[in-house]
Amino acid sequence: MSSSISDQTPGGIVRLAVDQEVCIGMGQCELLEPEQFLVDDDTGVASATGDGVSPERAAQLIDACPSGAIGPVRTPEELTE
Amino acid sequence: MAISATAPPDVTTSDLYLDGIPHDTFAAMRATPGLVWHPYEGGGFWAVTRHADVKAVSKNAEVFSSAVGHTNLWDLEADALEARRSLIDTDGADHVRLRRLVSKVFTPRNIRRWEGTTRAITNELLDAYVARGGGDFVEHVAAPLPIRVILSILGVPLEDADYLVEISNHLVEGTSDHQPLPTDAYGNTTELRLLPFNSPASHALFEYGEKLGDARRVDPQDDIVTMLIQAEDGGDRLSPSEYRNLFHLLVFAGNETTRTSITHGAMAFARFPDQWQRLLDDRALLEPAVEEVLRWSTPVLHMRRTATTDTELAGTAIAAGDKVVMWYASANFDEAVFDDPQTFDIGRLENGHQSFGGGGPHMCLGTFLARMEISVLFEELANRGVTLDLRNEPTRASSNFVHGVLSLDLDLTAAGS
Repeated sequence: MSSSISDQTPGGIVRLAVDQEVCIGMGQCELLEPEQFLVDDDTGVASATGDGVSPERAAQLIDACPSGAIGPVRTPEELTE
Repeated sequence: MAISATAPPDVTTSDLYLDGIPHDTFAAMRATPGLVWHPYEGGGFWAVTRHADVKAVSKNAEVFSSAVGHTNLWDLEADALEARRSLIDTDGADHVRLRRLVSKVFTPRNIRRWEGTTRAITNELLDAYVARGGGDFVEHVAAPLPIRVILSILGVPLEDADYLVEISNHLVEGTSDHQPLPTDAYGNTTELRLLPFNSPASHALFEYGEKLGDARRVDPQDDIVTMLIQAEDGGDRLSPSEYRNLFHLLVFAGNETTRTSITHGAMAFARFPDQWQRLLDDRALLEPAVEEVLRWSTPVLHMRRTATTDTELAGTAIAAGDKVVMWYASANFDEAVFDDPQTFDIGRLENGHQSFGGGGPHMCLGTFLARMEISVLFEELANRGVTLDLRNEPTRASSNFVHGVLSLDLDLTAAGS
C-alpha cells in the first residue's frame, strides 16, 4: 500500500480519510498528527481534519492505524476503477 | 506436518513460567522455518513466534478471527463462548460497536486528564513504601496503583480496591493448570466453563458489576459505569451479558496487566542497577525506558486466533479452523527486530514491542493508560533517588497466559545513606 501511494504522488501531498465504519477510536492518529485527525469525544470516531501529509508520512499513519481505517482520499476516477 | 525426531516443543505448561519465559524454546521455534505445529490437548496449534508473523496475524482479523472458537488455547462450546464473549472475542461490526462505547475514555488526549490523579495515588503509595524501606513491591505499589486508577476512571468505589485485587489474583490462578478455588466460592452456582478463566471469581466480578450497575441505574453519576448502564438500557447497543463481560474486562485487564509490567520493570531495575542509574542521571530516558519496561515485561504472553479460511503464513499452509497462537513472549525477544534482545536497555531508540499486540483492531484498549501509569510510577520513583535491591527471588505466577509476579521483595535505600 505504501509504495503505491508514493508511486502515485511522488513528492506530493496525500490527503487521508478515515473509514467511519471501521474506526475503533483508538486515537493513535490524533496522537501522531493532531493537525490531521480528531477523535470525536461523543462518538469515539476519528475523522481527518487536515490538508494532507507527505507520502512517506501517509504510509506511516496508514500502518499505525490499528483498525486499518485510514487510507488516501480517492478521486472519482479511482473509485470507479 | 513434519515428523520431528526431537521432542515437540512445550510452551503451554503453566508451571514452566514459574521460572520465567522459556526463552530458549522460543528462540528454537523462531529459528525454525515456517510455523511450528505445537501439540496441545490431543490437537494442537500453529505457534507464531516471530515479530513479523505476529504483526501479520494481528492485522488480518478477517482471516485470523477472534470471534471463532476462543482467544485462549482451548475451544469453548458455543454457549460458553456466548456467555463469556467480550470485546476480545468479537470481530467486525460487533467489535466496533463495543469498542466505541468506551474507546473515547482511553484516547491519548483523554487519558492525559487522569495523569494528576495517577500521580497523587503514586505519591501516596511511594511515600509509604520508601518510608518503610521497601518490602513487597507488588503488595505495596504495583497492585494498588493500577486498580485505584482504573476504578477512579470507571467510577467504582475505591474502598473496594482490595476486594477487586483479590478477585484479580484468583482470575490469574484461573489461567493456571491448578485452580485452588472451590467451584462454589463467592456463592457461585454457574458452571465454570461459562465463566471467564473458568473461575468462580468471575462470578463474583460479574455480580459486583451488576450490583454497581443497578445502583447507577437508580442514582446516575458522571462515570463510565453509568454510561454503560445507560447504553444497556438504551436498547440495541449493549446486552446484559455484554455489560457483564465488558465490566469484567475493564476491571481485570485494567489492573492486572499494568501491575505485571510495573513489577517486571522494578525487578529489572533492581537486577540491572546500571540501567536504573541511567534513568536517575537522565530523565530524558523516561520515555524509552517505559517502552523497554513494556517489552521486557510482556504482561500477556499470548493470544489465539482461528483461521476462517485456508491461508498461508511464513510459507506454512494453514487450514480453515486451525488455531493460530501469537506468542508475544517470543516476538518481543525476536533477534531479527531487537539488537541484543536479552539485554534490558532503557535507551533503545526503536522499540517496536508487541506488548499491546501486534497492531490490528484488537490493539490493547488501555495502551495509553498503561503507558501513562508506568511513566508516572518510574518518574516518581526516580525523583526519590532511591537504589533498588532484590532481597530474595521473586515468586512468579503459574500461568502460560499472564506473565504474573506474585511477590517482589525489594530493599530501598535513599541516595547517600
